[in-house]
Amino acid sequence: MGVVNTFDSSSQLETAESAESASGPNVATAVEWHDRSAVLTVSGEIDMVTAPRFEEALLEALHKEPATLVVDLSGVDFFASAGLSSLVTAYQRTDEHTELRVVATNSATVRPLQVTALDNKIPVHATREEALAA
Amino acid sequence: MEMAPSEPDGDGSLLVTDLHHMAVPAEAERLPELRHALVEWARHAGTTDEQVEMLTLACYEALANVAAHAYPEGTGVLDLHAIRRRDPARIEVMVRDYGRWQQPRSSNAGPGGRGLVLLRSLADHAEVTSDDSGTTVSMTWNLVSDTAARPP
Repeated sequence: MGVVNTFDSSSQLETAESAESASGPNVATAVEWHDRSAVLTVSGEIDMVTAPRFEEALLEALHKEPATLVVDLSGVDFFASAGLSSLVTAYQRTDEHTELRVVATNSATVRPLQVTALDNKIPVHATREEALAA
Repeated sequence: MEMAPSEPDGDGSLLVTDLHHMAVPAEAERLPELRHALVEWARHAGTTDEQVEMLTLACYEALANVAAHAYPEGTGVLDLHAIRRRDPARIEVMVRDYGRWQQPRSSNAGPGGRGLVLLRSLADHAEVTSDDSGTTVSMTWNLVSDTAARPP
């Protein structure tokens, strides 16, 4: 579990931007689909510089109206409030078509979600399987 | 070094020099390097791994607030100080700017809102003071003891 950068080759994979800046923090996102559920896998650092890319990936995935959008943050090792705000923006864009769920496995992501009580709004799961099955 | 703890630590293993970054351009792109410097410093200052993580995020939020809100009309600078103090053993981090914050409209949204919630929750003690010359965010973390009581 928790192998973030390995994808089932049979699933549709759209690799989004891998960060181009050489010096700054990087974030990478990828979307895979399981039937009507989309899993957005994010890795790297989400701070005020990279959060817009994270948000863009979230909104792009939502635009395709998945029944469930699972945001897998297992590979994220720094998660600042800018990233929380991106999640809130995505949450506010969801409608009756889409349910938003988060996978957070390490304290770097779990703690900010809990401290700000965002986990009361957006369900947080310990594994991707659990999030997909919920 | 007027604010440095004067006496050396008993076991000698926790001697850290205070961290001072002065007049750093308050730009988002400059913050990762400050964050990494803080991580390195905190790891040698007698903190637990959990404290390193909390300190890093809280300080980042303080810095990010400056970069995002302190200088609405242009650019400015910030100072970052991290100091290990004794009696009781603790770490103090101060982030200072020389601008004027745009006030958050509510406690949980708008400029600085969620970041301030984070830093207040993650620090053992946090204080934001503003005057005519700018704003200082001071955060404190209590250390378990003066000797390195780090989990294995």
